[in-house]
Amino acid sequence: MKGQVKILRFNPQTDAESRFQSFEFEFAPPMTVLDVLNLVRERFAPDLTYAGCCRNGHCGLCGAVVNGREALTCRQAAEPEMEIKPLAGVRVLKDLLIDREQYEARRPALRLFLERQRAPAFEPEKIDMEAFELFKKASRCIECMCCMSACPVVKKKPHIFAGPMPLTLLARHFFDPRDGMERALMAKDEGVGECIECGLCSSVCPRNADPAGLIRLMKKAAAGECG
Amino acid sequence: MKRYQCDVLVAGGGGAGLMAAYGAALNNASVMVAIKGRAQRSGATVMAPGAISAVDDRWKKEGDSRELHFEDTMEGGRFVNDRDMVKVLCERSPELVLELERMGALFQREDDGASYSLRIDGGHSFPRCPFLEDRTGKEMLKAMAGALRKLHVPLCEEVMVTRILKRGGRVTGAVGVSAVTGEAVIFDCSTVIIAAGGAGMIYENSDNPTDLTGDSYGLALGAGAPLRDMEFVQFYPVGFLQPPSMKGIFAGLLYYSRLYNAAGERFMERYDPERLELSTRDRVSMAIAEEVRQGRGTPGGGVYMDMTYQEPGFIAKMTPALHSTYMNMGLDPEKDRIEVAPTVHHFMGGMVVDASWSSNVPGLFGAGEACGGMHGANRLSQNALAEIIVSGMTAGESAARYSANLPPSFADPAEAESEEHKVRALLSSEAGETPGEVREKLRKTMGENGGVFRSKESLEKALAHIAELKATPLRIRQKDTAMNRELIEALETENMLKTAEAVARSALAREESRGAHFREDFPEADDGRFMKNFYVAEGKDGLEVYSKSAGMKGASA
Repeated sequence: MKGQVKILRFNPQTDAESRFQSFEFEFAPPMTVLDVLNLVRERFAPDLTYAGCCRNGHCGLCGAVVNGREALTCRQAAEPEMEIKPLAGVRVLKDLLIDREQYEARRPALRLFLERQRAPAFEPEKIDMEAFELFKKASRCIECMCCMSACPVVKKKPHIFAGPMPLTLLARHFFDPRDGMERALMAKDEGVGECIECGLCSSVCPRNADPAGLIRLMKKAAAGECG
Repeated sequence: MKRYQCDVLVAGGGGAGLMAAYGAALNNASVMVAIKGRAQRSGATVMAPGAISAVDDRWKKEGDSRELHFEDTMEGGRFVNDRDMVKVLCERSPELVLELERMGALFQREDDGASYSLRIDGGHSFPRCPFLEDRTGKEMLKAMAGALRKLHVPLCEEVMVTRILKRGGRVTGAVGVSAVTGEAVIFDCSTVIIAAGGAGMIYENSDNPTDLTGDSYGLALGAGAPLRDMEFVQFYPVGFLQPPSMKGIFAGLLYYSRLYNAAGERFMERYDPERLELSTRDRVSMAIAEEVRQGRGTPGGGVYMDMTYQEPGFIAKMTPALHSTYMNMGLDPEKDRIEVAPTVHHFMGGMVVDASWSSNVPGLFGAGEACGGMHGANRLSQNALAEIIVSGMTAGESAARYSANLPPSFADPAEAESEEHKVRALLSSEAGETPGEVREKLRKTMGENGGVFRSKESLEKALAHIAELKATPLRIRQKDTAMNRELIEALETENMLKTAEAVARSALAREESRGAHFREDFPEADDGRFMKNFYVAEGKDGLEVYSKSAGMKGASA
């Protein structure tokens, strides 16, 4: 069966604006969106640029908007009719490849490492299992930025609201029972209170990290402690 | 051209590389990490679902000991492992598991919140391996990357190190190529730690990420450091057969599955009635390949992996990432069986190092899968994540010690010029084949002729194919240097070809079957002739193979 894919293309060296380019492909499931991109690159467009490394949802590099919805191309089943665009709300370097540096620039301020005053007396140390569950959930984030593309608040308030991905990364440390930093204050500073709880971030998260749920809990704590 | 200065350069940013950088930083070397991809998003560690083997009085099961861990590892390696390296592995791993927690990781605990949950897998005598969900590797990387950022260790991302520079026999720096700009990058450093992982991409079926292209082995050979044990390539028994982009991807955990052939027989009963699916990986892989060869395979050329006997919800709870993979592909592990075949998982061989992870080239160290010796002829599961932390920390310490008393080193800028010249030459070539075409041929011949089953005839065929491919000029279709993936693929392809040749030459030399290496023409182990290791070094006329005694006699497990 013939399939048709429309890919939004942009080369900053030659193009003043992005444009859709269509390709035909043999639709033969099981087939992922990544399979289709690989086919197009190999057969028709050797310069088609998209990121990806692990091809199984671990590296978080291959997010794109497929038929209007954010997804990892490596874990999304292909469809016979597809429109593929780069993730939204972030600068495009070329075709589907996005610039991650603007979020890397925010990383140091988040202090995404364990901060504590003193080492435990006994190791392995006793951990509050309830907090551990939330720590695990937040730690599933692979920083694919699908949630950032879906979030309406990030687009409206790019400086005031850090967005679901940085807040999820922060949540790992917020819920780490060992951590001694004022993570609630940090969450407040990153604009956690701006979240409108639409839940779109969780609905597109490919790893079930549930950014919306984590943000809701942090928002409460930030309001209570620092508000 | 970008230029960086440091004492210690780590080439590779997976678990071993990051841990090596951590070890070097703690020991006061100025260190930086060059990563072909991006931190936490490249290399094999990020995909590792397993666990970290580590025996310690604080969590061990009654009867277990580090001596037993040592013996299990030696037996798994069929006694051609480097004993000193294995000793360091068993001794250091437990403390470094705790160090990972100090760096920020947390591993699974029992309901009391304090005792580690422990996993067991093929070849281990006891459950002795801490883990977290099915993303232990990712958890390790999060902790390591966090700790490195806390220490302000620069991560130089999207730079492929292509050559290690020497003067007077010593390391004086390294050059690389930026994957973003295509420009040369030069590193002034007295010390390099190679930690660029294995080479799964030289095979048709592999569960490795796409960036594991034998860069470690290419770098080591180029620097004049020999490789060892390259014939030992571990196949994980169960990789997906489709879709194409997921070919070879890790399809499940054998401790939660049963394997059936097309005739519905639980065939492991014939190959290892006691341990069944929990037999060592080489035996399970060979059993599957044999079933397929005997005509009892599935339509896609594999066998069926069955998890339907587990309690409802069990697979989703224990392996959430895998579970969502199944569901995305339209497979329900509670109802459907999954078609699987052996897939290349790990290279036991690699650069020759001693138990301080120092190579025979002054200033050159290695960590992780880049190095050979630890695992002998076959690696026990869970020993790779342990190797990452032990070899990484040890190499980092050794490198810091080595570089401490050396003056700053300067590379010859002409070397960067020659790297850029090479890039221009590649881009201007109009004839030949694309890197993708060459790779496809290489992967096919290695799968068919250098895979689970090997023979003199098949290996000579592989070598002839490799020679042909080496003589084929590479053609890059995208002509500018910015974000040119084919350009990087062309540079990788050289390493792939070199690695494949090292594997085939070593496999040809070992006229016996041992561990992961199975010769159809020599199906038995031959302790009389082969209690030794094969080495590969770059000679005047290409790769040369030689051997040395494994340094221990007989097998007395």
